[in-house]
Amino acid sequence: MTGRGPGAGGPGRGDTSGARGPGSPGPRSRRDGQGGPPGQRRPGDVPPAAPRDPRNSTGPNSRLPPDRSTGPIPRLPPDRSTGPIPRLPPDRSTGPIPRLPRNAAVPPGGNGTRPPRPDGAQPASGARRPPGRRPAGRGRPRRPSRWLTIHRGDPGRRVGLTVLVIAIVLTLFAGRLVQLQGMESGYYKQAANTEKLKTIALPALRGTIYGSDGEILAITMETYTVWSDPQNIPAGQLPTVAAKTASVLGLTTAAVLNLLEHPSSAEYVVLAKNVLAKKEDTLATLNLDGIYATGAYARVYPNGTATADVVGLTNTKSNGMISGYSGLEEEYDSLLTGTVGSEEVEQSASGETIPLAGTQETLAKNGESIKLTINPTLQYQAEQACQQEVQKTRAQNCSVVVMEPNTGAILAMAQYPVSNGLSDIAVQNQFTPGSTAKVITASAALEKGGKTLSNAYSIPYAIFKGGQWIHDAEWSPGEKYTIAGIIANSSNIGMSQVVESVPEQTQYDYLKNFGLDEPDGLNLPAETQGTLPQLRDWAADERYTLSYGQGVAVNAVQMASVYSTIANGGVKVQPTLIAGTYSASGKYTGAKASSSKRVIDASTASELTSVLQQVPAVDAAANEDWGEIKGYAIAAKTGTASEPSPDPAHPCPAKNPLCVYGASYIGFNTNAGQRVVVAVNVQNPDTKTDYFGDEVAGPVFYSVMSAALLDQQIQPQQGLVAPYVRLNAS
Amino acid sequence: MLLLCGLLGGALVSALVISTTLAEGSFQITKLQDSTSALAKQQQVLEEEVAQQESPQGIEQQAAKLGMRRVGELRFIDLTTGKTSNDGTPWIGAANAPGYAP
Repeated sequence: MTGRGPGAGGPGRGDTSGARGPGSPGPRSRRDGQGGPPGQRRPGDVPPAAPRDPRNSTGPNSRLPPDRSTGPIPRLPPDRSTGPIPRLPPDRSTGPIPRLPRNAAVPPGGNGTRPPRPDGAQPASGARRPPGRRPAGRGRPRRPSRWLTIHRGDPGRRVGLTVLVIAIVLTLFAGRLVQLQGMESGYYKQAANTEKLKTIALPALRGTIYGSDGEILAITMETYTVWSDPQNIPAGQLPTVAAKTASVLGLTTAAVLNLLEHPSSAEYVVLAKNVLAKKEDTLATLNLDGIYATGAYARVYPNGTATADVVGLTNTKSNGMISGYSGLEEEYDSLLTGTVGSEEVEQSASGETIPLAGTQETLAKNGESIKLTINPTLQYQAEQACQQEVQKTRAQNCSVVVMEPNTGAILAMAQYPVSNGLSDIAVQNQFTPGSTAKVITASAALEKGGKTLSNAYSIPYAIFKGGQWIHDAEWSPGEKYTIAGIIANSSNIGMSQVVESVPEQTQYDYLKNFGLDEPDGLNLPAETQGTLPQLRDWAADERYTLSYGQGVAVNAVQMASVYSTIANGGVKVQPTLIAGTYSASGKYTGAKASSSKRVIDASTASELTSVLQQVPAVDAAANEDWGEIKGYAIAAKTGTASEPSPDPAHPCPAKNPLCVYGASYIGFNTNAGQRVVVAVNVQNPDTKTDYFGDEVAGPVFYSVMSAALLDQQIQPQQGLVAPYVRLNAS
Repeated sequence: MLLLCGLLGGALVSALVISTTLAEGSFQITKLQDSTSALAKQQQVLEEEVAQQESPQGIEQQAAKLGMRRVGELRFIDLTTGKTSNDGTPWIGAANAPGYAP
């Protein structure tokens, strides 16, 4: 760098200046004002130029450095202070060259004459100053001003400052980036997600309800609503389309045509709801214009009306969810429903799901399925038998409960009229049991009253007990019956005397222990547990009426349970409808065994059974042989209860406040092996025909018991003889 | 420049390939979904049919068509002896026993 100043700069300058000659004063005057005459300057400049030049020493070839090296530092401040512009005009006037001030092409020393400076102070400076001192003397005091200003001639500073500014701006950007992406990322992520993420509910399929042998009683299926836009049916084809649609849907052509001609709105009319897939399929193949079908999940009950009242009904909510409304569908709703899942998908602005984008999925858990103890075939036969009897006797209703005494499993719980799931008579209706409750009084007397089956009582025409006359349903003048005879012949007068062998508390306890006025254990919706007056509320004649089953109300399952207890050797097993459950994956879990408790001794149960075995023959003697099934031993009891009118509009006459009858027939087979209890109650039969238990409920018992024995594969036995029990005391 | 063009071209081609593959996949998905729903519907149609034929009413109707009727007396056939197990003996109740008076 040292070499630059004198060696390179000097000659270069000298050359150019020489070439230009004195005629080019402009630029030179600025730059080389320091130099004075070229010739003079050259030797003199060498020493001072050397230390100053290093900055601009870009090399000998560059013409710029020489110019700059010639002393921009000392000279510029004065130029500035005076302003370069004022100076330029004079330069220009001297020729085009003044434009090139930056270009070192301008000969340095060519101009001996300097343009006049406005301030007039400067021109002399070059001359006055000794060349050697100039840099030191002038540079020092002006240095501060150099630092404060940016100068075209100082690219280092300029670049430095630019970089600094850029760095500051970039730092701000980076800071903002960190703020957005780091510190506030959660918020923005969420905001973005709410815009693009969509949660789809994954429906859980409602579980199926099966019969005891896997028959489908209730299942969720896709059914269709068939609807029409009559405007889309070509004119003139209306009758044809109506006829075709009607034949598939099982409707009349006239009805469909009427709907098509008088639609509920111009473009929409529903032709049929809950159309099964098969019909919809047939309809779809016809490809009729203007006829459409929309599918939705619905509950289907392929078994029809017979099991409807036990299984119950469902509701379909507006969101398509199916929920239990009555019966088992309601009781086991949460089990059947399962858990709804959800899926989060990313969607585009137009709402389409983006494939392969990350999705978050909570799988739906399908509902569990339930297997019932109900045997649909038996249920159907029971319903049929009930229907026949109700139609024959014009009764209000009929209910049948078939139960396995050792497990509590209810094999059938049928009724007529059917309500399609709206009411379950067997658990929701209560009735007066009548004579079928006599076994309870007898149990108390045998166990706590010191009585035996052969204790004798005389039966007058009527007996005055508790301030009231008690009669028998059928007149039996002046008999002497044993307790067995009192039960078998169903004497109210006799039972009123038997009950006096135990205190009221004991009588009450036995009624409660047998499950009267206690929950029956099925826990179905809207169940009744019957009514039994509290002991302290008993009127003077209460115990007598209660002894033969009046003044108390029960449901059909409770009554079946009483006889199950006797059939099961005195142990009461809680009734149940659930055989087991299938998990969503199909794994079967058997239901827990029903709870059980001993109500009476096994010996008492056995004694009562032997008495009940006499009843079919007693009935047969009265030409009502409904308890005789060839090849089977049957123990049974009839009941004929008197009740007040269920219809407030047609009350019973004041003279006879209990003018309505309830006929019952409850029994079980006593063969070796499996036993089944069948409890029949026919409520309010037409008294002009029949109303006694054996006459009205007997036929139902016979057919249902026959069906139950067949369905449960209970083998007949040969040469069965009933045990001898003395009924009459002489 | 050439490298840039190459990169751009490569990216373009791979984007094309990816989107084509995705589209192809979604076509296949749609096709399979269609066939799944068709089969599910068919299964449902058959299930309905089975459930209806299986129901006691359905069986009774078909049995009646075949000229069958309900059993009166319950009889079981012992397959080893070929004899029916119910000899039709009526239940002998206490009515036939001494001391019984209705």
